[in-house]
Amino acid sequence: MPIQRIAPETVARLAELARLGLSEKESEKIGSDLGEILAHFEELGKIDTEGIMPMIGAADAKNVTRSDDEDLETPEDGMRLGERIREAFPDRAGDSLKVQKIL
Amino acid sequence: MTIGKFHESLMNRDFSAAEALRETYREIDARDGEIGAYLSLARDGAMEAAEAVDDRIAHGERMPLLSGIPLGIKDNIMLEGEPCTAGSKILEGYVAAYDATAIAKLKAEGAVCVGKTNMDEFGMGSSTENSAFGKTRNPRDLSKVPGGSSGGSAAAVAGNMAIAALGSDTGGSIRQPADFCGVVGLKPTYGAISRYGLIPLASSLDTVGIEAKTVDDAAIVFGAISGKDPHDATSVEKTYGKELYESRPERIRAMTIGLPKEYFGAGIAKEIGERMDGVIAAFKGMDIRVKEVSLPHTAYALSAYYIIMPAEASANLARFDGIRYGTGGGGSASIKERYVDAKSRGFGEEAKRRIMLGTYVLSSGYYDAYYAKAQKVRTLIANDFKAAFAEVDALLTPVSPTLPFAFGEKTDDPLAMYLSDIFTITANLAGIPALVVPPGFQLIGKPFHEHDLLGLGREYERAMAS
Repeated sequence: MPIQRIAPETVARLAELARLGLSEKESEKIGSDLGEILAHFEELGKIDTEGIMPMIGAADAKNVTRSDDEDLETPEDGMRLGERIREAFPDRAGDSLKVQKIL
Repeated sequence: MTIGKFHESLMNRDFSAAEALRETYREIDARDGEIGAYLSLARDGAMEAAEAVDDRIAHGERMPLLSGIPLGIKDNIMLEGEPCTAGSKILEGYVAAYDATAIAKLKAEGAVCVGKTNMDEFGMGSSTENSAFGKTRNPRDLSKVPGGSSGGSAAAVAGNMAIAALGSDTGGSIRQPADFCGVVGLKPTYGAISRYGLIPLASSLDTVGIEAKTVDDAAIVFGAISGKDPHDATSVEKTYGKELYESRPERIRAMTIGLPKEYFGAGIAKEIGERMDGVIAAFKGMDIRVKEVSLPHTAYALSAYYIIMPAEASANLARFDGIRYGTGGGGSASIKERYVDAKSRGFGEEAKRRIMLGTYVLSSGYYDAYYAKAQKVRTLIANDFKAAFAEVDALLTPVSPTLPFAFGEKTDDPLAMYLSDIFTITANLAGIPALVVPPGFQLIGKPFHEHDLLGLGREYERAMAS
């Protein structure tokens, strides 16, 4: 199979969408890997899927709704869970998540 | 040692749970420097759990089968208070805030979680070489990979550093390492075990499953952790009972096994073909009927899988933005720069490749040609299985087309690595259960018929032992 390559500007656009900063070397490798993988996908064009329903999941899941309440055994569990989650923040101010200015 | 034997010895006071745990850590301290099955050890929590079991035994309590059993836990499954990295640098230092449902159920049975096992980053790989935290060696041959992505879990069990282990399987991540390391691997029906607390890779394919030494052990752990969970909308209302553990040889021997001809073609290593011939002869020798069947869309499964999986993975991995998890980022000038910085430094090569591939197939203009098309092909693959199961009770196939390979052999060629999964991805696409039994064959079954596979596997083990 001839090595097909994704155009560098497409790689740059995808990286922008995915918020990835790629080095020149990474971009080049991903461009050629993606080209080869996408060429492999061409075989799907050979199957007639006219009228076939897409399978979007493996279980017949029903949407689950619940009241917007805390779902915790005890307030102590809630304190502990909340603090554990806050402890994972790379940057915090008191109990709040700290980020750069957005607006 | 098996779970049954351990339980018997524990209740006979031949050893205590604490002694067994200390012995497990001695084994880990002695061997894991070389093997690298574990990323972190939960020494304090494990000892507390073991001592609690011993206390209850001292008070004359009858204990559940899993009490005191040392288990390895794949590092994408949350164990409260312990690190959970999913093999990624982006989660280095992250500590799980709560227990996954499977873990909570194991703890309720008195099981002892000894540590977190190595894996390909977020489950992306078939050799555990994509872990950000070093390689795991195959305990049966240290020059070979253990398979992946649950390579650490399979190696921990094969290396006697756990009696059983939890893994996860999105496209073969429990079964291929089980095959490579010579242990039993169970990938359940989609929805049979809650995914709550499993760091997601591809949500419509992901399952939590088990690496174990014997079919019985896999059945015991599966029985303990399966069931509907309000925290996972895709978990299914299905209660398994004693059919999981019961040996009913007359029922098993009345079954018909199908050999899908598409799984036995060119491209299988000679050793694998010979192994399968032996396995087929053994089943025939047990008076189980064997017949050829066809799953005509098998050839398209790899493409469908490598569209759906990266598409879902790219969406799932978007959450790792350097804001809620990870380190640093406070020095970035803007929020966008912070995202880019965290992701670029945190994700490894394969994760970046799949994020890019997923972003491509989901992007406007390509969605119908790739993602929508792949979902329709997925329907055809699931229909192939439905048709086959009208004729046979279970399917018998190889697990991997090759024997365990050497380190570095496939890392430069993603397509060659993806081909390792060719016989295992179909069960994930169709959402059906599959069991791997040494010396390395796969049984695929009807949805929620894990007991059929366990029964067949158990009969095979018996026939080989006699």
